Amino acid sequence: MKYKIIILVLLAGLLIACGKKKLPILGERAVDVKTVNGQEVIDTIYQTVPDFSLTNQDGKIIDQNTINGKIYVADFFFVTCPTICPRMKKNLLTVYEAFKGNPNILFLSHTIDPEHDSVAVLKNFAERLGADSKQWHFLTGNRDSIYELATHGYYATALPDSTEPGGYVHSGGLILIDKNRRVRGIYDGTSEKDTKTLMEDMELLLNEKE
Amino acid sequence: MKKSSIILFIIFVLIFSACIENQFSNASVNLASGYQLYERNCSNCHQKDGSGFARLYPPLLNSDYILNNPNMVDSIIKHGQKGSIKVNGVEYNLAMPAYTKLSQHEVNQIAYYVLIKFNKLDSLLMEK
Repeated sequence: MKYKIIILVLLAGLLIACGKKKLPILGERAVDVKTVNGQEVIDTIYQTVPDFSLTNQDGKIIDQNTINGKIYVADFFFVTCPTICPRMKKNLLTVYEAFKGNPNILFLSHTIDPEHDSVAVLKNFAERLGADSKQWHFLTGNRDSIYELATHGYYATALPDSTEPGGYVHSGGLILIDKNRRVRGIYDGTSEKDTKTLMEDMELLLNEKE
Repeated sequence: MKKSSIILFIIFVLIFSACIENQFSNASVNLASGYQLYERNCSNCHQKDGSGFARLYPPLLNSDYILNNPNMVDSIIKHGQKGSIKVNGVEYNLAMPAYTKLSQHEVNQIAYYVLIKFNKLDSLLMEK
């Protein structure tokens, strides 16, 4: 009996020690071989979110300088979406509430219907949701740049499709980006369980050493 | 004379009870399919329990707007809604899309579900 308890305690200790997981770095990677002080050094170059320039709900330009050194969650949606967006936004609001006021965390919600979702429309939507424009940016801009950013920057789907309710097909992913603009996780924004994992992973990223 | 009136009375009672039973079973069928249609088409925004979400999507549960306009529910589902409305003291202004792909029968079932389940409106109130 005593032995069993000791083994159990040891196992628990081992589990806690191993539990500190590190998030993977998603995307393609390249190897760069450099010569430093006459020695060959191999450096891995990870794919990063490309430079962008979009407008938020206050009419302010949001670009790579805004996200510099910050951890952020990105998603793609449109205001008149009757399907998965409301569920995504409800879950994202939970994440936002949990990290509200944290200067190291941002939220970037991109519209995939910029023709309809103007600055004023996004402002109305954000205010009604209860999102502060200092931390949660609702972005609009050039339609093709947004689609390009979605597909190649964040591995998300965003396409017009007249057969879909609302007129667009898009993934319900919440994408987690680290301080170095690398994608570290993609979570199903319509799932409460996945949203919980996202919040745990954000804590991990906040505590990650360079 | 007496015999025929008794027969007539029995026939009348039979028809009447058949009607009542029919009405009841129809009501439960409507509520069950209304629930399914509501889940599929409405609950993403208005939530499963009809409580609404933030100041974006108004509640359908115990809604003064619905109680004051019970006959408009099916028309709102069919044609959508634009502009500002006030529900239980809160203003909402997001447009609701028209659900043009639903049949009139399906629209009625959803409206029935919203009125009876969320607002306890008696079926008699729905008769236009």
